Amino acid sequence: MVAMVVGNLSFLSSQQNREVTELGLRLKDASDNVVTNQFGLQVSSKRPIIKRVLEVMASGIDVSPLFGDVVKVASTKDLVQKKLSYMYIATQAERNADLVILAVNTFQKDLQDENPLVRGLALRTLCSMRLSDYVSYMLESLIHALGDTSSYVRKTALTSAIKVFYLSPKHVLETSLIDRMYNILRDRDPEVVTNGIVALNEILSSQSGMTINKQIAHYLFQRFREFNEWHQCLVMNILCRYKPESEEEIFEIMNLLDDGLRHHNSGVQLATMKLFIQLTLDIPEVHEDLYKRIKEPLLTLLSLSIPEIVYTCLEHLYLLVYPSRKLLQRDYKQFYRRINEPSYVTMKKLDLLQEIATEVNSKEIIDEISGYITNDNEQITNKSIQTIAKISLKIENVLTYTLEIFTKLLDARIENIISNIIIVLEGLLLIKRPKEFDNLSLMLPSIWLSIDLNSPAGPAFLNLLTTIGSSLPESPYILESLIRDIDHYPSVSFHIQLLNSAVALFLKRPAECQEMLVKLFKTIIECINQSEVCERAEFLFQLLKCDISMAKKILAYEPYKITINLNKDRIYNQFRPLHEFNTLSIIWKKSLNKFVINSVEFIVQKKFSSYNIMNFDKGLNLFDKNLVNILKVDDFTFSKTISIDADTFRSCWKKFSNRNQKEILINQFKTTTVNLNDIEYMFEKNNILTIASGNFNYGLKFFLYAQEEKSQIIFLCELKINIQTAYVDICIKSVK
Amino acid sequence: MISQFFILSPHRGDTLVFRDYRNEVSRDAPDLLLDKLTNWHKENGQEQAPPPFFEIDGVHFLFIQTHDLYFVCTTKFDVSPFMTFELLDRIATLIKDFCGSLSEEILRLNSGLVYELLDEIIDCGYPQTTSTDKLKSYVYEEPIPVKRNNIIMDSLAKLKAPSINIGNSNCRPINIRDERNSRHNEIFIDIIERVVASFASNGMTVQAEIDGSIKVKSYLQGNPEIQLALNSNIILDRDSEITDDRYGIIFDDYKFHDSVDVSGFKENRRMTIFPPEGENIIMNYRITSNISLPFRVFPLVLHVPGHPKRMDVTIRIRADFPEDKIATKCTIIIPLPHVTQSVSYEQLNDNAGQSAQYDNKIQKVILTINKLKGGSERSIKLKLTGSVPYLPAAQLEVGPINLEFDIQNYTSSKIQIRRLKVHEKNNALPPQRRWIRFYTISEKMNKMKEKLIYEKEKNELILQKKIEKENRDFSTSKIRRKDLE
Repeated sequence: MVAMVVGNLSFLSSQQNREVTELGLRLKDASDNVVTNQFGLQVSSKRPIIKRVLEVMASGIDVSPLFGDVVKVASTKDLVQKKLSYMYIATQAERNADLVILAVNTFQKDLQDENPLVRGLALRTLCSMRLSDYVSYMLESLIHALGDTSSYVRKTALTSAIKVFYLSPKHVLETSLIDRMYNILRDRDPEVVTNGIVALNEILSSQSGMTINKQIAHYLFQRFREFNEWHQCLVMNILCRYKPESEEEIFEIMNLLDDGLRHHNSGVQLATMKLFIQLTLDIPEVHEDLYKRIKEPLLTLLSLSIPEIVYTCLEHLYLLVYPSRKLLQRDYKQFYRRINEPSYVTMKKLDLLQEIATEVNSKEIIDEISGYITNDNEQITNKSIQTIAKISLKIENVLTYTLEIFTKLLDARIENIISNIIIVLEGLLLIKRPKEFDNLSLMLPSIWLSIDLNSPAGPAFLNLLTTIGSSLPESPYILESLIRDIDHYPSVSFHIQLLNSAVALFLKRPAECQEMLVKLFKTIIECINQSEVCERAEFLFQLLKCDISMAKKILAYEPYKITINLNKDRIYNQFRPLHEFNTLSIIWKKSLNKFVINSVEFIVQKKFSSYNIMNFDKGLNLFDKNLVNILKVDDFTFSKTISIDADTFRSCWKKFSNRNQKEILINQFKTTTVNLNDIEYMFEKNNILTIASGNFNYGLKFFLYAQEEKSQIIFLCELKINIQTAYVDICIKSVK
Repeated sequence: MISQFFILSPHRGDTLVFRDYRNEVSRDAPDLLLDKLTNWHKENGQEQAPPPFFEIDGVHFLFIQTHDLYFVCTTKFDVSPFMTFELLDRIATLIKDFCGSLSEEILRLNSGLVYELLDEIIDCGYPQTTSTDKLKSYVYEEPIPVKRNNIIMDSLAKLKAPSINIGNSNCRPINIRDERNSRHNEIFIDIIERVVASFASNGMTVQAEIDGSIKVKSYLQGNPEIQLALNSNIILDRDSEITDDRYGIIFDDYKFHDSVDVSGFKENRRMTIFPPEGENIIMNYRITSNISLPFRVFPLVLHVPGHPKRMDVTIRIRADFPEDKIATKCTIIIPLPHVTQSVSYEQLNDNAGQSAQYDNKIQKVILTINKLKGGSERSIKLKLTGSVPYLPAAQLEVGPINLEFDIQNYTSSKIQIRRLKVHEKNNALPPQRRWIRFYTISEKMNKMKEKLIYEKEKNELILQKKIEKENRDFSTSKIRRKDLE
């Protein structure tokens, strides 16, 4: 069998190889026939071949052997063919580094072409190649292109600068390119301006982005309407960093950009909202008002957009529930389910409905949601039942109504619905007194056959049976028959609950249950070899034996006075302020920070070109005391000249031994203001350098290194800061 | 800061288009996503659409589903999800505009053109431009249409009996090349309204809402200025304007496309549009008051006394629109209790062109009525037989009832285009043709009350109106098409 599969694979790959070879031959052979079509455009006979090459490439087959041939057909009058060939060159250049020199000639020619499209294309392709050998050539072309007469070439040059920056940050930062980029921000063409902004912002991201001073901000605000919708989104996002000097200035900006809230592109709308939220943070009355203003556009998005945007929009509305509790309470009907909407949207709507339910609207909301329960989608059925239960936990006066609805639904005898209702009812029991369930308890004897007792609904049912159903005449008989058939129910949690329930019922109705209880203890001790179950049996047995009244006290059922636990989402929403509006962080409910790992590595490489590692064995406690000590180093100094690259760090991390690992509670950080860049900067001031940093569950994670000046010992450190608990987990390594 | 863009065909798992903009995410991203999607479907069932976000090892996948395809982008940055989804949606529309339609086959045939577009729409992960005007000057490949038999007859048939397939106003690519070579000079305007409404069992409206959009698909040459006037009784700000509410159309919220000059809209409900070529939604609005709903459905569920295994469901449909209008292609879908084994029907009044069918697998009755006159009423009685006796709560499982239909010359919101004027600069161009259609799709849902009666409806109505300045007949358009081919 295996041989056959392998055989097939090799057959396939040989077939693929044959096609690649054939394409190569066709590229070489076919005499290039360029004809002019009816639109006056040049069409080459080789166009279909190169097209096929790209198709083959897209399907994942290695087409790198064709590099030389494709480079040859790249110099053509047929623009489509040129584009396709360049696309190939950009993706395959790395694998054919030695052949790229062949393409340089073509680039050279095309960069001087009279058609700006060709110049732009050549530049874009040239800078897309990930070959550091050509960096200076790229830079030279870039700087030349920034002065091009065509705005198309200029704007392409700016985005290409980003690519070259990642290829060699050092080169880009050392040349005059950055200054030239700043100068070009005054360009006539709005697309050039915006590309300049985003490029500068990304290249300078290690210094927390491009500087946004009053002059630049107002310049951008003034030209804002010239920018296209996408660039408005991008620029607005960068402008969020700008802090106006006065309230008048804030209002001026808001008046200027107000149209953004009505823009047809939801990206612009949300970017505007985010900017306004940021601007008004310090003016509470305007801020409060702002929520009302942004509510309507968000609700409109709910009804008119593609489901993907509706979903994202719901996540954002969910975030707004916290700062402004009353905001959405009257709009609950907007979150009713619509026909043909994907289930993920409905699920999110249910979450929101639960949050905005109040004493006034909850009955209506429960009515609406109960309509989704008999839907054929199991997920929505479950979620709807849970949502109703959660609403009645929150709003006490609807509980009776909820139980009424549940009673009716139980009567429909649909297995899945019954199981789910039983589970949530057990949850409701935690805070409500059993007598409120009286009507419902009558249902229990008639539905128990429809429940899968091995599922989580099993124990829940038993619990209900002996709490709310303890006075039912059928209860002992149901328990008895379950004890008889105990073999059918292997689940441990079921056994334990069966024990608890039997004892509980025995305490209430000793005469009827004594025999049954004895039988249960016997069966469990004899036939069940789950230690957990046996221990519980033993415990209950001893308890009953030694003091019945004590047992009654211990096992008596009382509703707890509990507060509902905050779920993960709520914690996020309460802790993360609105500055993450319109980001992915909102979707994932955690701060993604800035994904800086790449650029930090680059910066490290840029600053230090050589590295030396020394062996000494002193100063083991340097990182020991606590984080504050690390930040305000007094009794030792770190060397300024150390440099380690990422790979060395990795190998050292494995090699070095653990010096210290501990968890420290810190108060220095106000948990909401922790920012990767700030911390890195703090370290850097003390010559502790960051090799990588990023997000880590609920916090930040850094890999740091430093070298003590006198002893020359290199320390590596892994630091995890949990934003929510303010605990810092620190692990330090050094050479023995 | 998009790292990659690709289009996945979920059926065969093929990557149809793949473009890497930043070289920072692994090339096998499409495969990773496919795995993730397959797993998701395994856990949640094939019919359920997955939420549009996935994260795999710090790489974020954002995708939209449209035309049976996944439009995906990956990123390592904390991007704006709204902008990204809008961009993906726009890319889909642009490909449709440039290639004529959007399908797996079209993408395969036009891969060159698609890559040309993608190169210009996004550079280094940053969106550049999506203006058709600009893009037209950047692309050089010609669109290759999918060959379809009898395309003319197809479109003629569409005109006579408008399909409810919204937005399929035309499957022709925009004029990419020299404008004089094209003989089309047309504009399509669709007013699409979705009505969401729910009723209590006593027929009271609990909630009613219209979500409307005006969609323009323009093939006009030289981007002429267009003036469009809507009803003068539109009220934009319900608090500040004191008008007779009974006749006013109150917009709760509205927004416009970039190409619309709205300076005149507040005063006289007129807008000046410079429509870009291709398909664009130029205006969206939301209405929650003064809505007249075209249909009412009254279901009645009764247990048959003495026959525990039987239940009767009577559905009455009333058409609440003027008598001179006719609704066509009505479909009513009624879910029934899960124990239902068989269903027989009893037609209660004149039932020409009416048929019903019970689908045992999904436990739904599908009732179709070919033509329904305004002001008339239809009823059907369904006699259900269950495999076991019906419980009282079985009534809960009847519903939600969906209703779909088309009506000509009717809108729920009473929005109309009062005037449409195209300022033609160049007389040499072929005469314009304008097509205006109105649609209303409404979705109604009802609630459970004491009687446990469910009532849910969904209406779709279409009104098609055609204004032809030159009053050309279909034969001319046939000839034109031949010329093109």
